Amino acid sequence: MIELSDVSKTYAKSDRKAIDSLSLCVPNGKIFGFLGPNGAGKTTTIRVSCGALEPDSGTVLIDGISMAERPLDAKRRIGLVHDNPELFNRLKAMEYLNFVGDVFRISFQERRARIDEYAARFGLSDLLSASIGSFSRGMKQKLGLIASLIHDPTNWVLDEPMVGLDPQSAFELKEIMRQRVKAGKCVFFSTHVMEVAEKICNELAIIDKGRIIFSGTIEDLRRRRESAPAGTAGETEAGDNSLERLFLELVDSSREGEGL
Amino acid sequence: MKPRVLSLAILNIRSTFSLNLPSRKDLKQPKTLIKTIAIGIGILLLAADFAFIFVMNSQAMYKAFKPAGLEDMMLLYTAISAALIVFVFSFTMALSLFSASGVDSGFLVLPFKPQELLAAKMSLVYFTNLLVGVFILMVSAIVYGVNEGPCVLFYLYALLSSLALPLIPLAISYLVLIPMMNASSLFRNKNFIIYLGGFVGVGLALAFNFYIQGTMTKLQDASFATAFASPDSFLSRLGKAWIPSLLVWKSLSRAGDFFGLAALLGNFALGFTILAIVVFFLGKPYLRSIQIFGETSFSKGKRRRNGSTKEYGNSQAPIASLLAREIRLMNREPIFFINGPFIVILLPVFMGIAFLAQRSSIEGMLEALKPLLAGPVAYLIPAALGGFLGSSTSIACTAVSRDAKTLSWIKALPVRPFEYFAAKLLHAELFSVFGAVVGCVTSGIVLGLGAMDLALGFILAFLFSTASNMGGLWLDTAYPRLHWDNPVAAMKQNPNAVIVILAAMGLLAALGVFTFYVSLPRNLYALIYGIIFSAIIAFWLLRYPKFAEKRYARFE
Repeated sequence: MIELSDVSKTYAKSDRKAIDSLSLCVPNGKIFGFLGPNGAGKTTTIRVSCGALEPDSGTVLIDGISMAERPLDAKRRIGLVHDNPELFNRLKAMEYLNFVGDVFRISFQERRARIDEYAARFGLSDLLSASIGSFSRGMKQKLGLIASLIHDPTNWVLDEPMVGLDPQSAFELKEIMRQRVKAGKCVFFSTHVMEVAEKICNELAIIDKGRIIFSGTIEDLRRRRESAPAGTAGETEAGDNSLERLFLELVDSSREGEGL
Repeated sequence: MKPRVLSLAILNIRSTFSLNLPSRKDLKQPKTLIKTIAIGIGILLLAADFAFIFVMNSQAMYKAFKPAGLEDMMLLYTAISAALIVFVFSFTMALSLFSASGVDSGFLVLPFKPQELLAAKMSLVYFTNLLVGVFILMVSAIVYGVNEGPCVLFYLYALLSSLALPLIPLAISYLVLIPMMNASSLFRNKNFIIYLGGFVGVGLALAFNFYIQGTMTKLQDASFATAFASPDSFLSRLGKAWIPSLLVWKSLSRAGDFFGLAALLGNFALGFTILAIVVFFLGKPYLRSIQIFGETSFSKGKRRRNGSTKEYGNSQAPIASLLAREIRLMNREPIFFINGPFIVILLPVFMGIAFLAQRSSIEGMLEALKPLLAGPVAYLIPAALGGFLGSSTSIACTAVSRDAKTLSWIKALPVRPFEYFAAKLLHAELFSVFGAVVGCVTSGIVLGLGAMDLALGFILAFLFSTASNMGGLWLDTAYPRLHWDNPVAAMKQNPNAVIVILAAMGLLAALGVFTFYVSLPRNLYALIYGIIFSAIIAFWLLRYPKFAEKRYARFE
């Protein structure tokens, strides 16, 4: 479980809060989608959650462990798939996976079993001796997915994981997400693809300008729209109940509320 | 509306030389102002350093030629050497630009003719080499002018000649490179090109070193000028063969009359004609070379055999894995390797070149040094050489900057900050040991030093380079360069690398002055210097870990 309470972060070279008093709870046993326009603060939230960025204020708890007080224990419980797979182009895929295995102190047998399993599922088994630099974006993404699962984390955090994946691998990814949730683990992922979020998320949160503007199930979001007062954006496309439409309306109304 | 080729040429030049000059508002901040002034002084010092070398060389040449009445031969000599230097620069740059052809591939979908793409790329190489050509030719022309007082046209012709200077070297560079790129997949490998470019660059530096030192020595010989300028000499034959240099010489030595003007115009006409021919005929092959550059494929050797267990690493401590990562990433990135660990090999080669070029004078110096070897010099020379080599790899002082692209990923891993930094220091220390050994062994062989002195020298060298590495790592932890597109920025253009090398040289110089002026018992110097270096190391061990931990948390 990932819990963020009243977290704020402003980058050193910016005068705008990337995330502003953000509170969020990503429970176990749920696929939790994280949506928002470009620059809304999704990646910053994910990086703060995983300890890659230090928040200016607020607390981050991973399975009840404070990221600020026990960062190593907290990080051991996270598997992160980065938004940018352009990592370590000079390493071979297996060297990269072994490095991750060492850092998480995974035994030879365990790492071999997991690498074999996930490499087979993502169709990368025959390419593990190749240099990462020779991989396509999708292949790098798959490698990042395998690396994030080597230590079988309780919290799987994925930043835009579908980008660059072929249909077969995207299917496998969704299957793995479902399997992990079934095993009582937490899956937290950001995406721009509304269809994916709509199909696989049990819960979702929408962020805009560093603030959470909605958190709950898609049904909650639909109910909220139906209860919206007459004359608001909710009425304009009454027949369209897709997440895409709900998302657009919510972001618009959030910005209108700010007088934008 | 600008012609397409001009727009592309300007884009190429701007994107390559994009200088982020601070605005007036930025300059009101003391930190930015100091940084800008320091960078300005650095650029001036660098230009002055090279100008000094060329001025001294030109002046020595003038003095050598003048007694024989052949003073204008120095202009031919300069025109030939400038053309050679510009050719090597052009070739190296044009070669390295192929490794960045990924960017160019974006232009392939735009409505450019192949000739326009090639001409725009050539403009970038021309513009860069123009600066080199102007610098070399104008320095020599000014030295000649100060001594001979020619007419004003002489200076104008010198400037115009230097504009024509890079044209044919540029054409020849692409004439060689484009067929080469199309001929073999070896040349289309980005790594190969970077290594090749790097080694050609190193070769250029060595040749330049050899040329300057060798010429300066030879010019002291009175008979040299006459032999140098005789019809059968290498210079005369090269001058006749390389028409553009001959035309530069004629245009300058006859600057006041029609013949000089004709030579100048002829030089431009020749240069542009050859360039136009190359652009016209090699436009399409250039386009193809860009299209096929860097094509990747999975060779048979890259496929893992199913069932093989050898490649699954045995579990090792995170620090060992971090160290292995450091070494692999540094040694497999040509930019990092050539400007980092390779320095330990390169510097002794430089010294060897200097020795070969000025053998007689250096042997004299070594003879003069021998009586001093009874004193502390016997262990301080290997210590200084080994210490300098060990601390010059820039591994520690660019360690965090090199990780800029992966820091957020690393930070999300359960890695102790100190382990992360310790792996970086250990990496630098491996090369400290190597540098200390190379320095001590080299000086031991050259000076015939005893084992005890070499052992003492090694200990001091290792302590010195360790202290330097620790300081460098601290500096790069405090002020890493975290935003860059090209690894060159993290390593070669990283101010931390310059600061650490200059600081190491400054400290060595200060200790040298101390040794020279303060008379102490022979081995007391070793004790004092050992204590100074150990104190720096102890201070680092006491203070750095906490600082690094805090800083690590704040990296963005």
